[in-house]
Amino acid sequence: MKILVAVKRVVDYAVKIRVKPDKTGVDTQNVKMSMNPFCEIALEEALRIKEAGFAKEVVAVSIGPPQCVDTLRTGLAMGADRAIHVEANSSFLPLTIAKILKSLADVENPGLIFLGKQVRLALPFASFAIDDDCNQTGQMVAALLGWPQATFASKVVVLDKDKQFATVDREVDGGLETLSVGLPAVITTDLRLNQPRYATLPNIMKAKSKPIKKMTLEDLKVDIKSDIEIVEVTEPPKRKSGVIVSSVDELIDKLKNEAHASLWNYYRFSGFGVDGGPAAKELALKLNLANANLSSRLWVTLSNIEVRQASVTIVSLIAIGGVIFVIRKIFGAYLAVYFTIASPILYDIYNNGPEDRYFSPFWIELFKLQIFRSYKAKIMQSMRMDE
Amino acid sequence: MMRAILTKKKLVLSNAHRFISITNLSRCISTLILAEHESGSIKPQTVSTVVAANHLGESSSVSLLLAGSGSSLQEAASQAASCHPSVSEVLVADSDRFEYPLAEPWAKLVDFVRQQRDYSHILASSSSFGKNILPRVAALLDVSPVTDVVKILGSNEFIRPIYAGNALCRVRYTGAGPCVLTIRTTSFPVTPITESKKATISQIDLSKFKEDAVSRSRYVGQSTQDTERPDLGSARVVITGGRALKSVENFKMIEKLAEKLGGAVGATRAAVDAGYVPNDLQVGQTGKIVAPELYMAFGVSGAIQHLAGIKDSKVIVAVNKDADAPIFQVADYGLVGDLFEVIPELLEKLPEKK
Repeated sequence: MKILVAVKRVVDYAVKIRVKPDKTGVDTQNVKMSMNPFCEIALEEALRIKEAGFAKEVVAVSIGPPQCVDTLRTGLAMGADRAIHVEANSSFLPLTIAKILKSLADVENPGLIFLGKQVRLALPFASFAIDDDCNQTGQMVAALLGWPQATFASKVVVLDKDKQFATVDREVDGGLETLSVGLPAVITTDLRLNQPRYATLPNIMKAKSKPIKKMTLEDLKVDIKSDIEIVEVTEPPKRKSGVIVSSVDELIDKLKNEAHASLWNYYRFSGFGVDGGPAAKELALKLNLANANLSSRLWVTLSNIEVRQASVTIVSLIAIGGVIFVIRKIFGAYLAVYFTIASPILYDIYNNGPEDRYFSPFWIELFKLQIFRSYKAKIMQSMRMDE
Repeated sequence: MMRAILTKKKLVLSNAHRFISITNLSRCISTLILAEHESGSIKPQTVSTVVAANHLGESSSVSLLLAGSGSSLQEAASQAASCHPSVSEVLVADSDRFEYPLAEPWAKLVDFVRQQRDYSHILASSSSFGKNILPRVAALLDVSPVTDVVKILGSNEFIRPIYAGNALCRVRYTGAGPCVLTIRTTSFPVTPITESKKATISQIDLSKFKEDAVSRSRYVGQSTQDTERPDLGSARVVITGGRALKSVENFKMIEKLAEKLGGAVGATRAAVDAGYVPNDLQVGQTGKIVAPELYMAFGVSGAIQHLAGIKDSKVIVAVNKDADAPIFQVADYGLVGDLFEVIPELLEKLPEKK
């Protein structure tokens, strides 16, 4: 039986990446690359099955630029018998990768295909990875081949003597699930499956003479599918920096009084409660969003707008505006121009397009303001005329 | 003068009205959601997915697909019909084939259902069920799925986290087939339902449903922990222990604290690898993603992969002997101290939950 193992060259998992300021992707200067840890585990499991006598050959496959050959040499040094390098000059979506692997499986006829469960930080060409942490390729290959799948495998795969079934323990949300899959099958590996071996120096030397076959997409007759576009890459909202407390008492005190996590209001659903309630939480989110947008556009980090201060300001602006309006000063109407500042924040105008349901209310609010102002002007005018 | 004001009002109103109708040009969206159920009731992740489906557009019809066998399935179906007002239909597939949620028959079932009615979107939660089945469904339909969606900006634009949550990627689905998504349920919380609406329940006719003659995937068994503690993925309070706890017995302290606060117990990969707790308590990039109101980490160093799973928590508290531990950079409140002293003190000083 042959085992096919798909391996991927990725950014080393210990590297911390940064988003580029122009939002086109991440900073990839001089980033260390290595084999995806999940793929190493997949290869290790395949080698163990071969050493147990259930398989004759382990073939490593990698899809990507010429540098993938380094990853394949590592795989050969670990113990794979031969390797296949499918040349690609752009990033592919998992569906295309799955189609490539399916074509390879049709040619090679393996009894098992091993893949790593997910891929982190794959950056073959582009400065962002379309298939980052997707956890899709294995399932898709299984679907295209019509084979059973055993994903998130965490315990040793045992094959029965006739090589017809593999028993796999999978990690699922509720614990561990045991499946028996008929061969040929696709298995994706989770981190607890095994501890990959290190390539010893003699093996690294031997690997230099093992064959690496080069193939192209045309050879495999695969059409590239690109139905997902990356619009932009942004940084997530930053958390406010925390404080170090000096004792348990201080911690409990802070949690009780400062934290917005209503530990003590756990069972109470009150309108406003200690922290302003759901309305304030909503407002806090929107203020953070506005802040983030302004910061990214103006390149200046604005200090966080406090929810309490913001809501007090807005309410007082309305109040004062209303009072002045009543005293017949048109200035009152203009003061209610808080709308033009507050509405974009309240209605998330930059993230919502015409389809979103907040779009029309926002414009209605602006219209309201217009009506407000023009009526006031008209009334004042007519009153002056009457006099 | 009055007439002038009135006419102006009408003019402005009609303009506004026109604006509203333009914004409702979104295409008709009909969503199929793969529902998970257990012991006769729908899992909360499915309800979060329904909430997410609401964000896809105005005119959406949401259908829940349940598969299983026996009375627990029918119970779950009737509970699903009233779990959320936006559910318009519940489709039930009752057969022994679906007794356990295996990917192969489920994927074929979704394809079968879709052939009978065109759905513009197919959703599932980003649980091990959804992650196992939905990519298989997508490949059968020859579409690329978008996984782990945290925000829905429109019917085909989504935001998903990449690089362990260190960046957010905005993607647009431009394909012709149905849009297939897995939803990160912590980003779509379920608000308490006030109105109750019962959706229609229809049994799917499986007579024409042909699966492979010999099903090559068989369920053998499962080992799960049965606890009264709240589900880790949706708990409001999570207490996590790391490798510093050093033994299974010490983890009982974490459990006691969680019980006192009414929360769930979590663990880091290091703790699970060392065997202190079973794997379903693992929190992190390759474990569960949580977003509780309060997250307390004891003896957790704060590796990038662990932080990826807790970034969306409202308040993070960290207790660690090492003042340079990376966890203190994300924690809202940090206490440098020995957890073996801090936890008993907390147990003593925290008030009982009401």
